[in-house]
Amino acid sequence: MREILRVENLSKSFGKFKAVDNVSFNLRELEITALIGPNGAGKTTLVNLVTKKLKPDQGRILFMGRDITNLNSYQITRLGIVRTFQIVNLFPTLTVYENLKVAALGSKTNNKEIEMIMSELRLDKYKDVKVMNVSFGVQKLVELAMALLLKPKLLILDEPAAGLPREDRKNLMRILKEIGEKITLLVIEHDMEFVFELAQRIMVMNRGKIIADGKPDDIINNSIVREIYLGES
Amino acid sequence: MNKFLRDINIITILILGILLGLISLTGDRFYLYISSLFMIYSLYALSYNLLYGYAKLLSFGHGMFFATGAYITGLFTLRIFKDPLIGLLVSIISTIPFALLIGYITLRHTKVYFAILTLALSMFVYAILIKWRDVTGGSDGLVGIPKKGVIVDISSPQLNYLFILIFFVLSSLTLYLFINSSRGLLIKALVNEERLLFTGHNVLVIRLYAFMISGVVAALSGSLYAIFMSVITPDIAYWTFSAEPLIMTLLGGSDYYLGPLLGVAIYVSLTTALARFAEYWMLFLGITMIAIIISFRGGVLGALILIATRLKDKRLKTSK
Repeated sequence: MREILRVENLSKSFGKFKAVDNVSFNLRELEITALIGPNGAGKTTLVNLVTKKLKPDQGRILFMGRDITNLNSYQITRLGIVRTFQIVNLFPTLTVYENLKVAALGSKTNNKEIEMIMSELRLDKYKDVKVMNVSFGVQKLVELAMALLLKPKLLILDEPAAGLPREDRKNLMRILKEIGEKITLLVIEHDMEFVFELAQRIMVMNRGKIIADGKPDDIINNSIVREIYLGES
Repeated sequence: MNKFLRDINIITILILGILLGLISLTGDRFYLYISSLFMIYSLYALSYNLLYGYAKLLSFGHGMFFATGAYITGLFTLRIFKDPLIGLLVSIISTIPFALLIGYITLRHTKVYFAILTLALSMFVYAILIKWRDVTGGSDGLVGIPKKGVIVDISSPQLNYLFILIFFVLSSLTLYLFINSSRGLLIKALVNEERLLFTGHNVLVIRLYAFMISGVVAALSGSLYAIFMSVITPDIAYWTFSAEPLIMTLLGGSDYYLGPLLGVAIYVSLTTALARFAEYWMLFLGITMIAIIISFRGGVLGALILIATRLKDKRLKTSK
């Protein structure tokens, strides 16, 4: 599989606290990778650095061979790195359709594709409802639909299953598995059941560093990971 | 905003246009004067609300665009080419680069920093108008701005009124259609700038676009004002004049396209009705503003819509 993203020696500190400490990794095309780790491990900060929500202190990011370290968030999005947020981040006063339209305008996608994605994700009936008036589960789907309308090459999902009821999680799992056949996915998630069912590769972060990286079976048997997660020594 | 409401807005503007047109038939100078001011200030407030209500930018310097429109029209018609229509068009076109320049300087900042920068630049324009006496007439301003020109003659009060009415209706409709276009949607999406960035949009460019359109419409209202009054003074660039559309917008309701129009109607009516008690009028306005901000964040229009919705719900419940 071809390499799509390469991160080299990325670091970010907040005062004396090293949130991301000299991290290097790469992502391969059409691989579903999960990024896991305890709270405060630096997962979201790492994603924020890759998508330029935060500026790295040092390091380099290459996307499909191109150095994107000095690009802005909107330029990175236009290149095909699209993300969702840990806390749902939408345009609350706009309708579901208008939210999707804003995303479609960002990638010059036509209205037909908006209708198609709305139908695929069963958002049709909420079309004219303001996003602030729909349920949390629907908001999560709107965020996913927006991400898809941006035609990502790499889709980064920050805790997509968090707060979703069991039925919605099942639905999300099905959708992500389908998406994963066409788009490279990087998923941050705390729900281990969800992660091990979805991911083909797992990276584990702790205290700003990647401490393990491999297939789910390797990770589950990794003694350091077990120690961090289960307190086993 | 759903299609029905969109239609309501268009229908309201058209009905308002017809009603204002009927006023011209009365020939009553007082009504023509009040209605003209209503239309000019409405355009000024609508342009302001594009920034405040839609782009979420609080400006304290909007008067500089009103003044730019007024002074360019005044200077052009007095010194270069005597025609109000051409003067108005020149002021609109000239405002585009001016608004882009001001926007480029100010829009890299948001919230209070943006507000203070616009205030400072507005006062800079005011200082130029006061000090550059040879050109601007200083504190005396420009006098005798012509209504009769080579192409257009609007020297009669009715014709002048119709001239303002045409621009009022056309501009209100155009601005409304713009807000409901794809570009307008991106301006509305400025409610969450971070999300907008992560949907591949350059936020600065969208802000600049909103700022330019808003500046141009404000310049149009300033130009109409200059032609209507025939006299302009630097007061229209002073920061207090920049605060007026904010007051009008808050009064009417910044969440609604027609909110500022209602705000202007209330503002103009109050200033006229309370003119006799001039010394108390600001006190009355202050009390009204406090009441609205504490009780009706959506302005008078927001309160009316809320009452109408509650009455409708009540009726539905009783019919069940």
